[in-house]
This record gives sequence, C-alpha cells and structure tokens, in this order.
Amino acid sequence: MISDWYVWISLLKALILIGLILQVVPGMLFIERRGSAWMQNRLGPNRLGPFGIFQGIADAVKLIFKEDFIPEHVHKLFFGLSPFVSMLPSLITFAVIPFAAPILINGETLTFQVADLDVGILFTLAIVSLGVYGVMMGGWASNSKYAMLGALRSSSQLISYELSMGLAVVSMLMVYSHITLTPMVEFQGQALFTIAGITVPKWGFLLQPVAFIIFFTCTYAETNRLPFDLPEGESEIIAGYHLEFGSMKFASYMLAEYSNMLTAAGLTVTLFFGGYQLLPGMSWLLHSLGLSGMTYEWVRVAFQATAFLIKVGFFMWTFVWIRWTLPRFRFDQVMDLGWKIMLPLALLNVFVTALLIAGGVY
Amino acid sequence: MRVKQQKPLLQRFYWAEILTGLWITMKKVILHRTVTYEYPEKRRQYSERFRGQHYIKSVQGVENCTACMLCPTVCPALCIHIEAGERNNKEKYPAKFDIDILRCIFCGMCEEACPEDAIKLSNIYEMATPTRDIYNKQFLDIQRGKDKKGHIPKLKGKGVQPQRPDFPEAGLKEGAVNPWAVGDTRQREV
Amino acid sequence: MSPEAIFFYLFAVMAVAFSLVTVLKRNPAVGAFSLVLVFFSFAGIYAILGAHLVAALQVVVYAGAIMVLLIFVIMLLNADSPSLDMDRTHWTLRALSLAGCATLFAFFVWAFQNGSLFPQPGQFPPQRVAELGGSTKLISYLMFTEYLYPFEVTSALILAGIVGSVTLAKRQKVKRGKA
Repeated sequence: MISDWYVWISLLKALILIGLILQVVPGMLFIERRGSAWMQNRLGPNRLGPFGIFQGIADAVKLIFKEDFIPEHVHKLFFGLSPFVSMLPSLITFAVIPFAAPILINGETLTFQVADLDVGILFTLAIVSLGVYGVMMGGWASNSKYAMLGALRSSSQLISYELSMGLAVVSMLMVYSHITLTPMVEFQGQALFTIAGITVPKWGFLLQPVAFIIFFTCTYAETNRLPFDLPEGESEIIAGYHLEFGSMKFASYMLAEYSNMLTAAGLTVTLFFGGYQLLPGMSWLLHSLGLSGMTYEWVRVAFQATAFLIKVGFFMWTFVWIRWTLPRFRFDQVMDLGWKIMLPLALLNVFVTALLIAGGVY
Repeated sequence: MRVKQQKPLLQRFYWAEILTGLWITMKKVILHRTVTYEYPEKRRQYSERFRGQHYIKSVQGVENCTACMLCPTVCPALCIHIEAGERNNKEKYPAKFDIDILRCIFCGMCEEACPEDAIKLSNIYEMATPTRDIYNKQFLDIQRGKDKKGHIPKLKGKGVQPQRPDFPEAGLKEGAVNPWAVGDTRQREV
Repeated sequence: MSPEAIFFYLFAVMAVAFSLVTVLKRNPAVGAFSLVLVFFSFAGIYAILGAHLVAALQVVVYAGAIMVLLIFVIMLLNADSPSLDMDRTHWTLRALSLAGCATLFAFFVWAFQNGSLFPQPGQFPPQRVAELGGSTKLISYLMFTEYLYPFEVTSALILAGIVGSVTLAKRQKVKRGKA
C-alpha cells in the first residue's frame, strides 16, 4: 500500500520540520527579548553577534551546561518523563500544515506537508488535546504547592479553551467543506470580490471574522501565553508548573511552549489567512519571471513557502506583541471568558454560519 | 461604598482598548527611542556635586588636612580613622588616614564638615576591585588611577570621561598664585 | 518487512506492555498514564488499518478528555500512594488466574486460525471507500444522512448524562434560619 519512496520522503520531510522548529526556538527567544525591550524603551541583548542574534544559541548552551538538579521530594519517574511528554505533542502537531501546493514529479505527487492525512485538522486538534498531559504530569510530579496549583489551573484552562477552538474550526470546516488542509488553502485562493483591479481573495478572516477572533484568542489560551499566563505567571505563583525543573528540563518546557506557538501561528495562517497563498505583490513577481515547466514549479513552491513563512513570522511577532501589551487575566476571569462568553459565541457562530450556508451566501 | 463606573460604550468592548494599547507598543517599536546608556561605550555625565570617590586635596605638595577629627566624628558609617602626627613646624597632620570604602555610604558629610577643604568627593564612580580595600592616606593623596610613572590613564570606551579631581600641586606652574593658600605660600617642609 | 508490519508490531508491543503496567503496578497514577499510552497505541493500530477518523477520535475523546478527567481525579484526591493494607493474593489464586489467561489466549489463537471468523465484505470494501473520498468523508456523510437518528439519540443520551452530573454536583442552597 505504501511505497518505499513515500516512507523515505516522509522521513526527510519530518527531519526538515524538526530542524525548522528547533531553529525557530532560539530565534523566537531573541525576538522576544529584543522586541520586548524595544517596547519598554530599552535595548535588549545586543552584545553577542551583530545585533545580538546569537543570544538564543548562548541561552541554549547555558541551559545545557547548567547543573541538572533533581529535588528530593519529587516523584522521580514522572519528573524525568514530563519534559518529554510536554515536548512530543508540540513537535508532532505541525505535521499536517502545508507549506506549499503539491508538485507532480514523474507521476508521483510530492506534497509539502509531512503527513497528508485523511482527517487533516482533526489530527491537530487531537494532538493539541494531548498537550495537557505534560503540564499535569510536571505539576503533579513536582510535589510542591505552587506547581500543583499551576498545573491544575493550566489544565482546566487548556481543556476549556479547546472546546471553543474546536467550534471555531467547525464553522470554518462548514464554510470550506473540506477537512484536509491543502483543499482549504486552495479554497482561499479564490477571489472574493474585485475592486478597481485589486482582487481580494477569500481569506478566512474575511469570511468568518467572529471565528477568527475566537480562534485567535483560544490559541493564546492553549499556548499559555499572556494574557492567559496565570499558570506560569512569575509574580503570582512563581513559574507554576515548571517551577522545580532546571537546565535541560526547563529548556524542554520552553521548547514545547515555543513550538506550540509556532503551531498555533501556522494553524491561524492556514485557516484564516490563506496559508501558502501568495502575498499581494508576489504573484505579479512570479509571473513576470517568465519561467515554465519544472523550474516554474519549483520557483512557485519557493514563493509559496516564503509567503507562508512570512505570515507565520508575523503571527509569531503578534504573540510577542500582545504578551508585552496586555496585563494578565485573573483565573476566574479566564474561566468566565472560556465558558460563558467564548463557548456560547462559538456555538452561535456555528448556527449563524449554517443559516448563511443554507441561505446560499457562502 | 460601591462606586458604579459608567464607562463609555467603546471602552466596554475590550477591543478599542486592546487595539489602542497595541498601537502604543507598536509605535514604541517603530520609533525605538531607548533610554539606555550602553556602558562602557557610553557613560553618563554626572553633575559637579556628584558624590563619588574620596580624595584629599593638597596645596603645593602639602595636604590640607590638619587632622582636626571633624570628619570621623560626623561620619554616619564610622568609616574614617585618623591618627594625628606633628610636623616639624608644629602643625598637625594626619599620619594615618584610612577610609574603609566598604562601610562608606557616600553621604558627603565629611566633605561638608571639613573646615580645611581637605577631604572631598570626586565624581569617579568606577571603584570596583577584586579585594576588600581600605583607602589609606597615600591612595587618597594621589587619587586612583595614577600609574607608576604618575600618569593618569584614560578609561576605556568612548564615553564621557569622569572628571578627575583637581590636582593643584600637579598642575601649578612656577610662580602661579594659589588662591587657596592662606598666609605663607612657600614650600613647607614635611 | 513492510513499513506497516514494523509499525504494527511497534504499536502492538506498546499496547500489550502498557496494559500490563496498568494492571500490575500498584500506583494508580502510573496506571492511568500507561492507559493513555495504551489508547495512543490503539489509535496507531486503527490508523494502520485505514480508519483514520476512528484513530483521531480515539485520541481526542479517550486519551485527550476521558483520561485527563481520570488523572485530574487521581491528582485531586491524592490517590497516588498505594494501598498499604492490601496483602498479596494467595499463590494458588495467582497461578490459577495465569493458567486461565493462557487458556483463553490459546483458544483465541486457535479460533482465529481455524475458524471461519473472517468478516464478510460488507457494503464498503476499501476500494469503494477510497473512491468515495476517504473514510472520513464517507463516515461523516453517512452519519448525517442514513444514521442521523442514532446520532441524535446518542447526543440526547450524553445530554442526560450532563444534566445528571450537574444535578449531583450542585451545591444545595443553605436555607437561612429565622433570625
């Protein structure tokens, strides 16, 4: 059923994806520190390398060489296991997100996502719901009050916002009428309307702004980022569930958090911002190059991947931007927002979308 | 007493406030005005009244201090220790003048109390050493920074060089009149 | 060995091993986390068989929600210390149960090899499923057209469960006594 070639290509794509994620994490560290510093009228780290771009590598090296302590009172098995359990789902979730449209090479289709699954976005939702375990295990294994409190808060926050996220995705599924991600992106390539020669494509946030707002907010809650930061808030419960972890274990938690951010940004872009569809000026540039045949295909793939990465980069910047602008929600406000506002709003959105589809608007 | 605040409608939707906040932070990133001094390339310029490292002012090679013991008396941290001695011309002078720089709180009371304009605080603030120093009289006389040849090296970096305290005895030319000298201005025997 | 065989053996070994850990370990928390891994490996086996939707739903529902609830309960009740007053069962009972399990296993192996238990091809053999656009599409189409009534009845059943649990967990309003 599966050819050997397919297995090797999938392995290669998986390796490339892991490499990408592991490179993005030090980059995000650097951008977070410089960006947050500029927002606070100060300079960030600028000593290592030009403009301090090697700061992420320096942080990684520091964390590797730090002493790996295991406190006496922890549950040893789960303490050692929970950073891995936290890191695994965050690395896997990116597998279904396409970077570019498929190419036909010698009759075989090469897709630019690691796994072209039948269930598409359900896979992502499934693995995201596994992300709760790393938090819970970490907090509970630490045998400390702050860590336990942080773990409980974080897990209840995560499962509450999963629901609204799923419902927002459901309304997008109803509009796109596909569950795999590549047809979704192809759908968003169509034109919505044309004003004065400028074509506005059918990007998701134009079709379903309410679903976009709900999904966007829920991704912030899913990745434990401000303003839903209470589980790991520093001044409140002193780093919460990753309190007792040092050096590489803490680095694994940070890696998991940043990979979750990357996946959330990737999903937002794919569902709502046209995925790998080219940005306004780029298609003109692509056609003006005048290539044809296989060269054109590969250049098109390069352009699409670049457009995707630019959009994902913008949303990663938005994570940093909102983190350093908004204050933290109190926990009862978080739960109120999740159950009393987001969930009814998402349900209402599904209902209204169904009415609009029946009425022929979409 | 509960005060009911009636906010305007646009503020009660969080979005207007959130977007305003986001715009403010974005402006900060775009305009990028930092208030950081990148030490050691750039240094802050402090005023003349800045209370930094101590020194004993000398006039024509002779320190002004007459060991009157006013500064150890007034010092709140009790960091000055003076032992008086007698010169050949029956003048008191400090044979031993120690300032424990680790105890000093840099309040400047000794400078205010001194009637002879002897102990003063310069605006040198780079005083970190790897050992626990006590500034003795020799150090306070000639001030930090002079190397073996008597030159004062420049501090590293392009920043503002902190002002070196005046060395009247170092800079006075032959025949110049020292305005601080009272009475006999001939070189005294030490 | 084909890739499917490799992955099948991997997931099968994982499932069996972690099931044994679930049953044999005294610490309930270790058992609960091993059960999560059992469900995860089941999902892998379903995916190998081509039932992608069932695999995804297994992870979402079982491993992602039900087990989270169970582990919540274990964590909140602090039930991770093993019961101290439980003695080991008598060796005869243990030997007997092991013999019973081995007999049952042998019987299943014999039955699968010699019986005519191969499922008859039903309405949707793999080729037809692939023609119709994949199992997910087919299942969702059938669920909302042909099997709509069981779907709605299931959701009514779940609603009954929710209402029951809310009623059980609701706080009783304390009546104020006459002052």
